[in-house]
Parts: sequence; C-alpha cells; structure tokens
Amino acid sequence: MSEILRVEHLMKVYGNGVMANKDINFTAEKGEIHAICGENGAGKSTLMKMLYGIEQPSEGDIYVKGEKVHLTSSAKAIEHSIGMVHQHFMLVPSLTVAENVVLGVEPKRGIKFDAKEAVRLTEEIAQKYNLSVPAKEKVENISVGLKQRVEIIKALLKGAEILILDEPTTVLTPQETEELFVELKHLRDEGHTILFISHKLYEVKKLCDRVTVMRGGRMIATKNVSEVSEADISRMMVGRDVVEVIEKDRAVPGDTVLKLSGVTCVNSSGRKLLDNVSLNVRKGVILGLAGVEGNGQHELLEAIAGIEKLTAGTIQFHGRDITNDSIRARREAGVSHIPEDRMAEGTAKKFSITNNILAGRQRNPRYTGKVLFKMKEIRAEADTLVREYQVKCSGREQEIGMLSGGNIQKVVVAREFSAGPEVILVDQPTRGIDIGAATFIRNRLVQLRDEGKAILVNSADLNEVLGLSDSLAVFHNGRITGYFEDTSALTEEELGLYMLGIKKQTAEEIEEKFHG
Amino acid sequence: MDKLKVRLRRPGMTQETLEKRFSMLRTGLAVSIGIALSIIIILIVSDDPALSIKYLLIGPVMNLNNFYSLFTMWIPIVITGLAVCIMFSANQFNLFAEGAFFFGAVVASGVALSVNLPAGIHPVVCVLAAAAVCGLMGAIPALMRHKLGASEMVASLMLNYAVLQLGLFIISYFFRDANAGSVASRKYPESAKLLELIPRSNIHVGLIVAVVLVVLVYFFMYHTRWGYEIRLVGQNEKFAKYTGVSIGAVTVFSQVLGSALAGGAGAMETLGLYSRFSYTSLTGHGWDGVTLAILAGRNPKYIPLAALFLAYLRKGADLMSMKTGMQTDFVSIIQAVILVFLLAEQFLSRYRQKKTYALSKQLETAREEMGG
Amino acid sequence: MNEVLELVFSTSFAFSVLRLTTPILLAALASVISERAGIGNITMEGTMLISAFMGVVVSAYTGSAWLGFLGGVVIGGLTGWLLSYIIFKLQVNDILAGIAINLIGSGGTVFLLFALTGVRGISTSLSSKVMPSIDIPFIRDIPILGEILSGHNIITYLSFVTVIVIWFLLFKTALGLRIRSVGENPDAAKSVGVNVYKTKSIALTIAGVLSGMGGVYMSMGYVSWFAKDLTAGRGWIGIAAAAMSGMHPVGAMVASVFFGIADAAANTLQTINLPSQLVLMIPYVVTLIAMCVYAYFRLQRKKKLARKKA
Repeated sequence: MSEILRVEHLMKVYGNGVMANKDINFTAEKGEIHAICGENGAGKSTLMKMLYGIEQPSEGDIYVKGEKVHLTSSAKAIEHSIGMVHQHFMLVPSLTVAENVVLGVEPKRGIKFDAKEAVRLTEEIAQKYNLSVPAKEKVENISVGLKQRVEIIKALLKGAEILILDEPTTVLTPQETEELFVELKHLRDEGHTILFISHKLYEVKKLCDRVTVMRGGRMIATKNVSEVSEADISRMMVGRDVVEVIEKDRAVPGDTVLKLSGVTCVNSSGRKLLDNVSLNVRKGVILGLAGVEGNGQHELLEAIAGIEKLTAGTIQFHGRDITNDSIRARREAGVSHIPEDRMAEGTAKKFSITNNILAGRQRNPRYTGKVLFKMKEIRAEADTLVREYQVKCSGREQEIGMLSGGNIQKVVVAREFSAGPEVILVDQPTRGIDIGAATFIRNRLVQLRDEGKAILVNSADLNEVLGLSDSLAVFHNGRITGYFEDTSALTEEELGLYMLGIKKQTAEEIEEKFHG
Repeated sequence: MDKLKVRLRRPGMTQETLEKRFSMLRTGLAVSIGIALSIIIILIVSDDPALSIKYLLIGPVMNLNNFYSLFTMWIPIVITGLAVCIMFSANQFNLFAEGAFFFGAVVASGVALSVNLPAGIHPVVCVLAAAAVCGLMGAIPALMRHKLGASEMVASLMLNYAVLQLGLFIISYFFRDANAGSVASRKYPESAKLLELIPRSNIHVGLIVAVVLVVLVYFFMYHTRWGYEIRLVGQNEKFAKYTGVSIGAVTVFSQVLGSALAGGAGAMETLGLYSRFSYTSLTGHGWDGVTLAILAGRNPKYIPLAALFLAYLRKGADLMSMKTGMQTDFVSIIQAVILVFLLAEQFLSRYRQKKTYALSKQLETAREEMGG
Repeated sequence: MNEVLELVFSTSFAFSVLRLTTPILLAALASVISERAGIGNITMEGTMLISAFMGVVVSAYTGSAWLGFLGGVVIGGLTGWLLSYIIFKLQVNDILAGIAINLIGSGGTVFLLFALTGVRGISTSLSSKVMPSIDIPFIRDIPILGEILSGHNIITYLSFVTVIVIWFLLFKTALGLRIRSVGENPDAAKSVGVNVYKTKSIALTIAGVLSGMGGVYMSMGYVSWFAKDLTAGRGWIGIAAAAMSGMHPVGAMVASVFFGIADAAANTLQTINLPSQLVLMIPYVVTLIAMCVYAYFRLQRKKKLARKKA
C-alpha cells in the first residue's frame, strides 16, 4: 500500500480564540478505510474541515500523494481528489438529484445547461459503483439514505480518491447503515481511500482497517483495528476507563406532576411529530426519552414547554389543564426548559452572562421594581450562579459567545435550574461539551431529582439516557413504543429493538404501567 | 510581533477588552476616513478649497450663532436617532421614522391651528397628539410583519410616501394660508409655539426634551423589563420566545414607541423653529435617525455624540455652501462611507485575528505551564 | 363617474400602464434575481437614481442617447457589484449595506449634479438625450391594440424581453442553477467548489444592470431630465412586486403590471377634479393593501396545506 494523505503538525485556532486542533500528525494509505474517532469536541470536525478546505490551518502542512498542498477552498480540495460527505447534507432541496450531482461541473450545450447529460453522468457513476439513485427526482422528495448516496456520487463524479465521511450513520436506519457499509467496502476495493469519522465504536470495528483516535484537539494514536478492542479505543478517546457511571440512589417517586393524554402535534408540512402520546411524570423521578433522533422525543419536550402547539390531546400540570397556556404562563407555573440548541434557543450570543441569566426573570418582582430593574439583585444572582456552577469566565459581564460550549451550557443550565422549577425539561444536556462540564450537569440533575423535581431527559447519547433515567419511554415515529418503570433490568439490545420499532408494547400495556 | 506578545502579557488583557478596543478603533478610523474623504471631495470640486475646508471643519464653532444652530440641528436628529434605536434594537427594520417626523409636524400644525389652549399646555397637547397619531401609524408595518409576515421595511417606506401626500393634502385643504406664496399653513398662534431657551438663538425647549429623552430611553432600554425584552428579541428572537416573551407584543410595541418619538420630534421641530407648516417633501430627519442608530451601535447612550458629529458635519457643509457655493448633499456620501466602514466586520479583521491568535496561544502556554 | 370610466377604459390609459410598468418591472426583476441568489437587496431605488443621473450626464456630454444608456447600465452594474463587495468582502449586513448605497443614490447624485452643472436639484441645464420610441410595423396598424402596444420607448420593450431573458437565465443555464443553489443552500454550493461569492456577485451585478435600465428609462424615456428623487419610490414598489411574484420573473411581470395600473390611475385621475395629493397616494396605498392581501393568502394557503396533510 502507498501513502496518499499525510498531515504534519496541523494546528487550528478559531477567530474567537478557541484552539480546536493541536499538533495533529497522521497518514492515510491508498485503499483503506481509516476511522477517525473521538468524543464530541475532540476536534474531528475541525480536522476534516481543514482537509476539505473549509477552514485553513493556523500552522502545519497537508500532503496529498506526497505533494504539499494548500487547501484554501473546497474547490482546491476537489482538485486534489478529496471529496467529503457532510453530516448535514450539502444538497439543494429544490433541485433534482442529477442537478445536485453535477453542480459545480455542469455539462453545457451552447449556453444552455444540458439536463440530459447531467442525468446520463449521474446514472453512469451510479451504475459503475452500484449506487442506484432516481436521477430525475427532486432531492426534497427522496429518503435520507438516498440523499447520502447522492452525496457519495457527487464526490465520485468530481474524481474523489479520498472520501471523507463525517458521522455518516447518525441519520441512517440499521438497514441503510448495512447498505452503506457494503458500498464503502466496494469503493475501498476499487482503490479509494475512506476517512470514516465516528464515535460509534462497533461500526469502526466492523468497517475500518485502521483507526486514529483524537482527544481534546490532539492526536492520541493510530492503530490497526484488528489489534485493538472497542474498550481499547474507548479508553484512548476518554483518557480513562470506559463507561462513566452516574452515581445515584434509587429514586423515591412522589405525586404525579404532569399528565399528558393523547398529545398529538403536526408540523407545517402535515407530518405527525407526536401521535397520541400519553404519559405521567412524577416528582423525584428522571424520565428518559429514548429513540433515534427525530422520532418525537424533542417535540414532546417542546410541547410541554408550550413551544410546539398541540393539534389534539391535553397536558395537565398539578391537575390543572395547561394545554392552552402561553410559554410564559408555564414557566411561571414552574416549568424549566434546557433547549436542544443552546446557541439558537438558549442564549443571546452578544449578551453578557448577566443578561442571559436574566432572560425569563425580567418580570419577576425579585429582580424588577415597578419600573426599574433591581440591578443589585440581578448582579448578585449572576455572581452566585457563576460561582455555584463554576462557569469559567472573566466575570459576569463577559459576552456569553466568548465562552466555551461547556461553559455556555452551564450558564443555560444554571438559569433554568435556579428558576425554582417543579418540572425540568432537558433536551440534549451535554451535546458537544467537555467531559468535566457534562459530568457536572449530570450530577446536578440527579441532585435536583433527589430534591423532588420531576425531570424529563432527551439525549442522543444512549449511555447518558440509560445512566440518568429512573424510568424510560421509548419513541418511534412519534409514538411511545415502550415504557419502562425501572430501567435497571433493561439491556441496550432490547432498547435498540424498541427504538427501531421492531418490538412494541401495546397501548394497554403502557397504560397499565401508569396506573399499576 | 514579539513586542506585541509582551504587551499582551499584561494581566487583565482578555478577549473582551480586545474586542472593545477594536470596535473603538474601528469607529475612530471610520470617522477619520469619512472626514478625509470630505476633504478630498472638496479639493476636487471646490473653487476655493482652503476656505471650504476651513468652514467645513471649524465653521460651526466660529461664532456663537453658528454654534447655536448646531444645537438647533442636533435636537430633532437626537430624537429620531433614539426612535430608530428602539426599533432597530428589536431587529425590526421599520423606516417609518422619516414619514412619522413629517406627519408629526402635520398633526401638530393641525392641532395648533384648530384648538385654543393656554400657552404652557398648547404645545404639549400638539406634540402628544402628533406622537399618538404617528405611534398608531407605526403599528401598520409592525402588524403587517407580525400578523402576515410581510416585509416591515417595504411597508414602512410605502407608508412614508403615503403620509407625505396625505399630510400635504391635509395642510392644503384644511389649513392652507391663501396669502402665502407656496403651499403652507396659516401662521401658528403664539400659544402653540415652543419656548425659546436662549433669545434669538432658535434653541427651543426641545433641547431639554431631547436630553431628558436620551436619559429616559437609555434607562428604558437597559434598566427596565420592557427595554430588556426589546433587546432580547432583537438579539435572538427564538431564544426570547423560548423564555416566554411574546414576540408580537414586543416588536409592535417597539415600533409604536419609535414612531411616536419620531412624530413628537417632527411636531417640536415645526412648532419650535417655524411660524407655519411649510414642508413640501420629506425632511430626511428619519434617515438621519437611521444613520445615528447605526453609528451609535443601537445604544441610546451614544446617540447625542453621534448626533453632534452629524450636526457638525451638516452645519459645516451648510456654512461652506453659503460662503463658497459648494453643495451640501455630499454629506450623504460621507454618511454612507462612514456607515460601511463602521459596519464592516472584515475591516481590520486581519489585524484582529493576529492579536486574537497571539492571545490564545499565550493563554494556552500559560495553562500548560500551570498544569505542568 | 362616467368621466373616470372613460379615462380608464381608453387606449391612452392602457398605453400609460405599460409606460409606468417599465421601471417597476425592471426593479422587480432585479429583486427576483437577488432573492434567488439569497440576498436581501434593497438598493433598487438608489441604483435607479444613480443610473438615471449617469444616463443624463453621459448622453449630454457625448450627444448620444445610446452611450447614455450604456453609461447608466454600466454604472448600475458597478453599483450591484459594489453592493456585493460590501456585503461579502467587508461583511456588512445586506439591509444596512443597502441603506448606505441608497444614501449615495439620493444624496450623491444631487451633489454630483451640482458639482457638474452648478444647478441644484434638476438637470434641465444639460441637453441630455432621450431613448427612441419605436413604432412596431403591422402591430401599429391594428386598431386599439396598435395604439396600446406600439410607439413605446425602446426600454419598455426591452423590459418585457428581459422577463424572458431572466427566466431563461435562472432556469435554463448553468449559471442559473448556481445562482439558485447559492441562494437556497450556499454551503452545498461551496462544498462542490462553486465560488459562492462570485456567483452572488454576478447575480447582484445583473440586478444592478436591471435597476440601471430602470433608472435610465426614468431620466431618458419617462421624462427627459434628472431631478432629485426622480424615481419616487418605484424601486421600492418593485421590491414589493417581487415579494408577491413567488420570486418568478413572470410573476414579477404580473405584479408589476398591477402596480403600473395603480400608477396610471393616479396619473389619469389627476387630470379630473380630485385632490392631487390624495390621488398621488394611490400607488403607495395600493401597494400596502396588495402586500397585505398577498401575505394573507400565502398564510392561508400554508395553513390549509398543513391541515390537508394532517
């Protein structure tokens, strides 16, 4: 085998001062599937962006086929036979598959765009690599698995020999994942090099030849996959022994605080996001919401918070119907909400920490007089929370956008936890933040449970959901397919079957558990 | 480069202080570029560049009358600046301030000419009526945006043109002075005029109102829940919604308030400076408000300074035009250039990146040394 | 009332509808192509003024109407390019950048006019030229239709041809594919090596050219001089027209003709005994109402769609 890609002493500092990559060195061979593994925030994405010309390294060099290259744009990367399939698809929905495939290298006849030739080119590649796609269909109308295939064809059409796939299986069903693996192995056998970015270790074991592990923006090691176990890789990723146990005592369930009956939500294009969901949530219990992303867990939290409007069903809070209450009324009644995306929904980037903490309390008489704010109280509260939640910052007046993800999340959490809630809705509590902050937040959740709060947790991190939850509801297609009063006996395999909708409890079975 | 690092090693040099310095530097440079450009334009166009430049740069402070009229110009634009500040803070690009200023003058003239009230109360009623009417009108684009999703900006501009004609209609059909040469209203009764603060200076009581408004609006925006909600919505509408703020109420409220202020400013302008309504077109005060709001970074605190700068530039240009015949409209070119440089994120960005990079590397080293 | 009807159902009214549609249509097309490229371009008003001014100046100094036209269109294109530079290279918010360009358009032209002629506000001292009007053979001989369709300024015909050109450009060429892709998903376009800045820049330059044509029409067709605020909000009405066109050139044409009718009605009604100011309000009030109606039905359609699928 021969070396096709080499990276030396690569370093990246972002404009906001965050150092995402430090001294990265690694090589990839022709005709291998090379995994890049690391926790969220380990710097994988930054590295890939540099390899695809989206970001430029602050220091260091990249060599392709032994030649030093300056990847100042994606166009340059494509020129050097590098292709990329992004985690969030880079497709234009209103254009056809063929138009998406040829975008950037459009065939022309005279001054006209040659649509026929575009279809022909697409089908040619599709046939050659055994990746069939409907060339004339609009991308907005095809499935996720097909979209990914379109992405791969796009890269191949442009002559990609090195193909970067950024967490490609996150959005796929198990069947689609299987198919993808067959396709990728086929590509490898044709002599392509594949960089497979993932933190799903069983996939790495199953698919890849070598693995490079990253942690905290640094390179840890490169190993042959056959020589290491999943546990070995995992240890390198987190820098200590694998599964993190969240320490907690048995839950002491209290009264029912929140009662959902027949909750149904429909989005603007008419799809049912939630389909007749009924649930009871009790004090002193962490209720986990598990499921493949996009199956209704997130929407359920938003429905309780009052952001997603119900098309049917009711929500009761302490026996009072709050279905038609405003978001503000619910918050004032004692519902706190850690939103899914802290930058889009949880903070105002240019506001100070103080102003971010003030959000939602601006009408609370503790912080405002009849006209003017009680600045002293507000500042004192901000100082207390910064200290209590160990937010690393230069002070409460610092712009929140300047903080690291973990510290931003701590501010969000501090604001919501300290608002005196009875119910806490937690959506992706630790996504993309460092382990220290994540552990801190998880321990806080357990502590709040012990204080008698009712907590609902949705997380894409299965370990987290299983570790935190006392009870668990599994979602598939907007419905609850399984409810477990006690999660201690539940295995990951069994959970998986429910998540995929293969195993289902009946409505009666679930109902019984609430009353039994 | 090494020197730079040493300088940065000073304790307390954080990312924010760095950012603050850049924004100050950028404002200073933008203004300097604007002034430099004015001088270049004068050098090219003027018959007597030396005299022109002299009047432009020091004309406004050459004698007391000029100095007074600087403040006469300052009063209305401070208020429209505050008005636009409030609307832009909610991230609503409502440009009705221009129309509101004009129509406020119309309403005030109407009330001044049709109601008899004692001197102290008459102008107050005129101004309040103007503010109320214009505030309600400002709700039109706001509601179009909130209820229907139409562009509040295009709507507010259409409204500007519409109220211009409506105002001219009202003046010429109900309040026209047949003896005046052009379309103008009858003369205001003495009771409706604003008190002059300094005799024969044209500085009227609006000066005090403007100063008070700066303080009020500042406190409103930064020390009350209503102002906070406006800013929150402007910074991140989705976040505001998630924390329970009613987006519609806040955006509509901000535009009603802004339009009311602009309307009041128009009312004070006509009652304070003129003896009758004599505008025949929109006055540009609303657009000045837009410039000022941007210049001040949407912070009411900086509006007076920004307004002083613009008034100075205007007055200088006016004097220059009177003395040398040079035209004054080039000020709008200068305004545009300053705005662009002020808003340009990329302006100086390479310099900034260099510094940020150095700072972060240094912090990293420090952390490693500490951590061992 | 009869008098009004007579005026509205006359051939001269229909003729003036087309005459008044022209600048609105060109501004609307400029807005359509900008929006398709994903940019909130609000510079039509300012660009039209700049081009109207340039057309007058160049034609006056060269004695050629066509060179004046060219000058106006080129400066329009340059203004579009400048806007893209300010937005993408200097990274200024598109609306605020537009405000700056409009400032230059309104104040800068008046200033330059003075610098060149020493006269304030109006260009009558310059002996500028006017673009030719064209009698179309055969069509001009058809009764009624001939009177309506023939004899317009050449830019009026050009503007309707432009509808087809922009449609072809957007939906039948590779450049159009790129423009739509950078508008809809710039990251996707960038990731396959499409130069997003260049593509958007081209779109804005074309938008500038279109606005430029509209501006030249105002000063060298609609009237024969340049004056302060000559365009009187037509650039903004064009944006409103584009907003209810579904961002399609043909839709833009339909909406523009509608506003052309409102404008023509205002002009026609002025001749009879109505307060001129109220009549002059018509185009703007009509635009406001049309914006509301369009937005309302768009909202209803969306709701219906959601209900239907549910």
